Amino acid sequence: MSQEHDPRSAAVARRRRLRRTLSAALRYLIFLGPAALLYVPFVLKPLAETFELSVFAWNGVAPKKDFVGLANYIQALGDPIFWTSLGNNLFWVITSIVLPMATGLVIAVLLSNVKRGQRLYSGVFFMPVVLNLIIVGLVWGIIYNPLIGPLNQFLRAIGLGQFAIGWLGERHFATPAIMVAGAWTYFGFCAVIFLQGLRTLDREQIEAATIDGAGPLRRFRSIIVPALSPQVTLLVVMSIIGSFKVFDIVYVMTKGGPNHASEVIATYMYWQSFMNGSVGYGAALAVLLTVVVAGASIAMMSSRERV
Amino acid sequence: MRRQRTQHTLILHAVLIVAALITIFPLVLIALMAFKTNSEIFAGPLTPPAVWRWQQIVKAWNDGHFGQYYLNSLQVAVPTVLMVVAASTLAAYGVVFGRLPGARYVLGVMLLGLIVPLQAVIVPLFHNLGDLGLLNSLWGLSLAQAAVGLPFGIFLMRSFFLSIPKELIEAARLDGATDVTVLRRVVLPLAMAPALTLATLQFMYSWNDFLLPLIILHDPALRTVTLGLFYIQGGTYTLNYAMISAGVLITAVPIMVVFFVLQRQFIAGVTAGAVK
Repeated sequence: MSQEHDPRSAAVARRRRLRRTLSAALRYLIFLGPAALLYVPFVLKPLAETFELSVFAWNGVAPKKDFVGLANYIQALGDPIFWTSLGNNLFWVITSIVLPMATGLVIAVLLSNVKRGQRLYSGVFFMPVVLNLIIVGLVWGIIYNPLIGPLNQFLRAIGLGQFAIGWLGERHFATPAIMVAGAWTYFGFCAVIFLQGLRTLDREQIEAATIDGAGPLRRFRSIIVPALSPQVTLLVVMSIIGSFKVFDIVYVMTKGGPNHASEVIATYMYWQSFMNGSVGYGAALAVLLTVVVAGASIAMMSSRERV
Repeated sequence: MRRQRTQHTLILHAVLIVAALITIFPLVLIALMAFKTNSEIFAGPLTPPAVWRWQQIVKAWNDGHFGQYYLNSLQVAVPTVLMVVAASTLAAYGVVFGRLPGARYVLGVMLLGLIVPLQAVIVPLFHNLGDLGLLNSLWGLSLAQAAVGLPFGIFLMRSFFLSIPKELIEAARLDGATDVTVLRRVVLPLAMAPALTLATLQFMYSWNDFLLPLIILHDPALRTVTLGLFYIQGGTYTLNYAMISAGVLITAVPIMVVFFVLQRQFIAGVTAGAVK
């Protein structure tokens, strides 16, 4: 109580408070300064500016930007290529849940039953995951090549020459063809995630079921699949996020062609922003993509906590 | 019974070996193609080349400027990794042990970068780098990659720091250790393993990155390996399949070798990085 009235101790308290504030500020500077120096100018500021740009019309070079309100978003609603892109993203979502995940699950169950060579096998299946998508795109681009591509040469060899088409140049086949290449880079990842889940599986429960006369299919359906539900949730949400973010593999294989048929939001956004000079419209597409991806990511983080 | 089990194992291995062969089949076909002449390529994918024309690989290395591109990629990846590991370790330490008022909110803002796609920042980032004179520069690419990789780095290091018992830090503090001492003597020696995982992952992201080099590097002499490989299919080499295949071989083999040496590190890292 007397401290309140004593000018000397009030000064000491003030000085102490100042020193504490200063030392917190110094700790902020030391610990978060380097991160902020990178993050603020190269992530945070551009992120805010993308939202800002999405309500302007701008060609990327002119000094003047015109405020257009929500016109860029309304333009997307009436843009057939936007809907094609979105449809292709949804096709990626569905097929990447079905194809690589199913393959990965089968591989994981097989792997969990071998004792020797498990590391080597997983290495081989996982290897496409670490290759960059430009390598993957070029490899599969050659496989699909109408003239020299192994796929068409194989089809001709077995008498199915009429199906030997220019896969990446056909509007209906370009996206499925790219998707197969994408699945090749993803199933090994799914297999490893499932394998981790299978390691925690209760061996005794399986043996008990076997003794009770449950066949392999029954054991798979009734014990293994339910036990893997956290991994399934994780991979489904990851597939959704990956299917909306997909860019590299489409860009290297078709650049979104023929005539925008294999376009996805990310490639279309790139084309509008950097090739077509519609930066404002590109920003609106980026915002739409961000909302979807961020929503799915938040869903994943909450599901991740349960894995 | 035992015979049945042996049979079982044999079938299992047979199925897995077939699956493994199917997996590497596309790469084998492309690898063969790199050694073939054009007429051999047109003859069929399965026939091996009459002679192994290593000179075609050498020619692709030289004509594709891969020597330069490998140096460029290293010049980008090494600083990126160092920046991400250092800045995320410091930031994660600060958030977890730094007694910073309002650290929760700072963390929230930093982790925002974890859930937004690169497309959300790419156009303004391009213009901002231009204003700073960092377009068409390997340093500019490094800074951009480090900034984009930072949220995941902080996330990874933070979740490791959270597993360190608080008592350990407090005991050191009671002994009179300052923050810098605690970080250097107590936390860093423990943090080597996650830091190494982060470094491996970040190196891979940087090496395989395509979109940032595509928009930042315009001078052909500055291309990274990944960007250089992309451009091999355009322009002069459009119809030279052996050249494209050789480029794939030149860029894929080193990645595969590093992967098989550090397999455990990679698989642990990528599955931990699943959040990204």
